[in-house]
Amino acid sequence: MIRSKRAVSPVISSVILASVTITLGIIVLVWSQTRSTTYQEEYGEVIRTEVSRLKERLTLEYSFYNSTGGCIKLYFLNYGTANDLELQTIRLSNDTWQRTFSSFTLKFLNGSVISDQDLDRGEEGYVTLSVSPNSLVDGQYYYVTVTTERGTSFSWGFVP
Amino acid sequence: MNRRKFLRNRMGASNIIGTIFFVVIAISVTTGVFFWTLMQNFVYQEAVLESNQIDHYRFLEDVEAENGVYTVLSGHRVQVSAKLTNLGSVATKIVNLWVYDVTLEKYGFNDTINTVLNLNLKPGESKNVSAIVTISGASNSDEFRSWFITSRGNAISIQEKYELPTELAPQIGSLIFNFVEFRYFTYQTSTRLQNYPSGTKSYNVPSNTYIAFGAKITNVDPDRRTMTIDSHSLIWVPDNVRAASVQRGKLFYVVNVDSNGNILSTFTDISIEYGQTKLIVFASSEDGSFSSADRVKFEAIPWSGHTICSFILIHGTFDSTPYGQNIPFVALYVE
Repeated sequence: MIRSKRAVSPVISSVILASVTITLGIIVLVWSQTRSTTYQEEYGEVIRTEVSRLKERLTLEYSFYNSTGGCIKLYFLNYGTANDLELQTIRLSNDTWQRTFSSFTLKFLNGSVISDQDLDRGEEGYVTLSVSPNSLVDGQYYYVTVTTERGTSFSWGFVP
Repeated sequence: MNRRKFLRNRMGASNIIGTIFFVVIAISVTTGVFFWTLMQNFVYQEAVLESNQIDHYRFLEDVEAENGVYTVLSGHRVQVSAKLTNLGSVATKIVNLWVYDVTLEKYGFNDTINTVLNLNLKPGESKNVSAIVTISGASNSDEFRSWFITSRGNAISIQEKYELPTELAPQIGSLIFNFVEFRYFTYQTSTRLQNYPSGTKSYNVPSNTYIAFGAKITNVDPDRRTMTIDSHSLIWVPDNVRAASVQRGKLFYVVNVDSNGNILSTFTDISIEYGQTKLIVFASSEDGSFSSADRVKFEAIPWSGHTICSFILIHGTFDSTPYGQNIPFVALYVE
């Protein structure tokens, strides 16, 4: 059989074809596995974010404007079922004016700074915003709109 | 024969096996991804449901806070007392109490009330709450507004128990009298009242029997001061029975009564804090003291069968400032 050359070339070609097929198959398999894993991770992340976003609830317990200092204190409560509610921006506005704050310090009601700068479930906290050189007009209706890091928006009205 | 041929023929078998193998892998991968995606969608749907439930339960929450009374204690501590009633169909947890001093334009809060007072209300449950909020500079004469915050983010305004309009309070006085709760007592012994403190709620009183009166007085002072009733307070029943004669009538001076109905021989001033209601007993013909000889009765002649007027004359101090008030409109019929 070793000396016989008649069957060698078909065998070699078969081996080559099989090898190529198997290699391509494995490559396709690995690629599809990678793609599906990536898809699962991305989709899972989207779902997780959406789920957390759906569970986010925030209420404005109280707002107090100090006209002397030009500061407004906004007291919040996370009454949703999602932890780590992070305030990304706070916009104060009325019909003719608006101002957006993206840099502020979130504190507990006792005045200590919240270390992770977010509100967990049931947590209360407040921010102090300086509106100077503008000032809020006593008796006018203003809106405060909070956008969270997950993209949820909450809006309330207040009268200084 | 054909089956034997097929089994002996090695050509093509590997292709079939390979194809089946890859098809199985492809199906298992896609099936896994498919079911995983279904699971993720299920998780999302669950979250949507939960989200809707949060809002639904929030709307179902219905709590009433009434009988609010503000008392400023030492150290500018504003004591807020109120009755909370859960009118909704879901359990409620109170997490914060806010108080706004309208006069000073200052505010305060108490976010430990749930921890301290365990303010969880079942549907239909009522609880009396008394919590302290510190507002620097607050005083009893200030005007306050307050509200509770629930764990679902709802705010519950506290309705004040006594909201006498500022223009009305100086006209009708700082003490109010409950006509429905007016009562009289007969004597079990010479110095002990019968059936105290219930007495007999009636405006018809017996003649020829020693009696005492009980009146429920509430302090609704707009400045939230404490009223101190002194011994000069009395119920005066003028003698309108004998025409054309000026008679002193009957005097029932205020007395102290212990929990068993015994009238004490000497009188000690009675304090009524803002918002507080006390049963004040009038029994003695003498100012400041009582003995069996000081009991008062309406003799059958000439009182029996007549309707007579009486005046509750309250005298004392509001935070050491002298105060007097006449509560009229009480009529009695002597049987």
